[in-house]
Amino acid sequence: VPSDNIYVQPPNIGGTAPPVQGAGPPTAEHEPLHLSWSSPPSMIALCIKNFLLKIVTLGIYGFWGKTEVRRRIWSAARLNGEPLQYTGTGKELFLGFLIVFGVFFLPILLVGMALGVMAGPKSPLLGAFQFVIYVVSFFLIGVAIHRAQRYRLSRTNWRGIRGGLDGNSWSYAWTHFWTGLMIILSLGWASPWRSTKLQGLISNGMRFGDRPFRFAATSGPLYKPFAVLWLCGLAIIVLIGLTIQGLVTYLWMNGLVQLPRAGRPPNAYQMMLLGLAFYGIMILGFLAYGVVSAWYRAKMMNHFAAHTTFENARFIGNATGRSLIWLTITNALMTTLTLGLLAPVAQARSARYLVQRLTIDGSAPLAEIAQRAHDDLKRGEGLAQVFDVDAF
Amino acid sequence: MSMPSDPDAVFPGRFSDGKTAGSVASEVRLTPRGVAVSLPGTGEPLMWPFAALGVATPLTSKSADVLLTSSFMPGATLFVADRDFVRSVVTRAPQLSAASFGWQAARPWMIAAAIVLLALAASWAVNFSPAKAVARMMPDRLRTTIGEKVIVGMVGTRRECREEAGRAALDRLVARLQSATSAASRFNVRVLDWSLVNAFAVPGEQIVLTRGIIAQAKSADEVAGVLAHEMGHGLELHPESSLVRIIGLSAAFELMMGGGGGTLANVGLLITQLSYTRSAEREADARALLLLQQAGISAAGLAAFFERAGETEKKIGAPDFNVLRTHPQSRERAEAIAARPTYPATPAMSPDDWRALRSICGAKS
Repeated sequence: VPSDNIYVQPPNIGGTAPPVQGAGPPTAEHEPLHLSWSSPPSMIALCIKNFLLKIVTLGIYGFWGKTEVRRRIWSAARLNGEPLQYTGTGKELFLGFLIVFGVFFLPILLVGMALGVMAGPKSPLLGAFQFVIYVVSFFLIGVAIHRAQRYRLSRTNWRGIRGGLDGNSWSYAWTHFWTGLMIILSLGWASPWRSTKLQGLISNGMRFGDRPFRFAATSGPLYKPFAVLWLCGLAIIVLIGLTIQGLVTYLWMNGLVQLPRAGRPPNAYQMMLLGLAFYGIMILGFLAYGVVSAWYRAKMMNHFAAHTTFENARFIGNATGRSLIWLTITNALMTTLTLGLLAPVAQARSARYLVQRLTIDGSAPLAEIAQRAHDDLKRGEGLAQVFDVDAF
Repeated sequence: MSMPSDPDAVFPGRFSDGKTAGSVASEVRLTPRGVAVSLPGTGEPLMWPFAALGVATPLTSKSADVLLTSSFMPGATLFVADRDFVRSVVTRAPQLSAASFGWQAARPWMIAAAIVLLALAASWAVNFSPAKAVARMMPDRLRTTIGEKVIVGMVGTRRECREEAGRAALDRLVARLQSATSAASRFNVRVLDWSLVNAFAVPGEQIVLTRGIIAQAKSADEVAGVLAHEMGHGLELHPESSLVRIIGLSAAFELMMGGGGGTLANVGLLITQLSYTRSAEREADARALLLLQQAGISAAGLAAFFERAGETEKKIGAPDFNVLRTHPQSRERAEAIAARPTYPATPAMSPDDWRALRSICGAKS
């Protein structure tokens, strides 16, 4: 446990009280902070139980199963050796989902179907309706992300003190929306700026007890790695195009395939082989892009961590592209090959990665940090579940 | 470290009062009355009765530590990282074990879900279709409007056939079958200039015949049989029920999938719902046979048509004979129709009318 604090605060030798920052009473002791991970027990058994109950109950148990998984994962994360506590309930998730389903999803489904039937599948009215739904959905994804974070943080306790997220979900959603449009207009180059802006809105809104987290990062340092990512992405797209074109030209020149002509049906077997070849090339391209983007994501994670502080503590990110791509691929395989059975294990691995790759450097006057008022959020993550944006 | 049976065992714990994020080292003992927590600098230990204990995470045999709460001291937590303590406390406070956790909170909801499922199963068992019940509640005007829109979508650029003599002949046949129904609603039958061999019943007692199916029919009785079958679908509200079912199933599917993958599910469901079920076909047949009998038209035409369709089905895998895809068990049904007793019947149409109907789309057919 590093007890010397090189950030903000002078070295805290021999555990004596450091000079007081801010308005706290001078007697308050600054406790150095450190994160650790204690593997959650019996995760496989929990996976099997949740999977079977979910099938038997036609999916409804999923909300309670998810809550069980979170309880284990939260309490595996240790701050100064003591566990985080997840206090959310399955009922909150279930009702949250039911309400969003009822007030948002079902009406859209019904109106869309009614329009399709009444106005015909090709009518401009249906097209306009779908366009509006896409735009509204894109906006609501922002609301979903913010509210899901708020729900999770408000249901996270440590030493009985609640976390929380301040800030308005709708203004977050608006930023999420218009900066998203900027990404399209800038051919992707707005991405680091947008990520930093959105992370700032979340991190600056985060609370533990009555104390805020602070986030003060600029997107400048992210642009060098992003340029590498962007150019690699472009190169991959060009390579995919050239490979497919080359393959088709080669096969055609050697008479191995005939290009389909009007009035003559294409050879189904050849078309299938060609299709498979195209898929293979695309998947290779995606994998290559995945590796480069993992490297970028690791840089971003470390950058954001380095500019996040809580009281006299700052975070140090130790994510690497190699470890992140390994985590991503193994988790994806683990989840898909078992048809989702081992998804909770994959989630625990992601959480462990986060905890183990984050170091806290510094201390906080923990005995001064008071309880936070109850969040009035009664139900959880309905929108996030509909849009499938919840990570855990 | 002491054995769990040792009544004097002292376990190191961290106690937080839930008012601030500070915590203090404490000595924890298991007493007959509950968990005793001695805080430094205080005399009498805090007593947390076993029955009032709660945990953040349910305890299993593998749990190495426990974060206890007590309903007597809301907000306060006690963290003890000791396997022996965990094992001892769970025997005294069984509500903390994984077995009695989780499922407990979900139980009332699971029971509610089970009741809904049972109700669905029961309604299915007594042949009650929820989709049909909803379809019955739809006002006639709505059903007709929906049906007209469906037809508009189906017609596309195709022409509706309205040669005068053919139209009049068809109207006479429809009126003859209509008079056999007790339904107040009037059937509206159209012929489309379409080579596809098919007939559709759409919502609002509306039927679409194709030029192809009239050309394929060997006699007026066969056309009458197909028409009676589609009227049977209409009388049973099958098109309306299908529509309701598509919407209902999509909604239920979304619910089960937790909302994910919505669009894909809809497409899949739409495809599966485009055809009627076997029992719906049987219902339509039963209606058709009654209609034909009451109208004094031989059911042999219906039987012959489906028999021929069945043979084509065998000969070519996926034929242009599209009627097969929506009517999958042609052969079985044709046999059932042939097995029915005979009754006095007259031809469905006069030879003149039959000729007129065959050229309803103009001279080419």
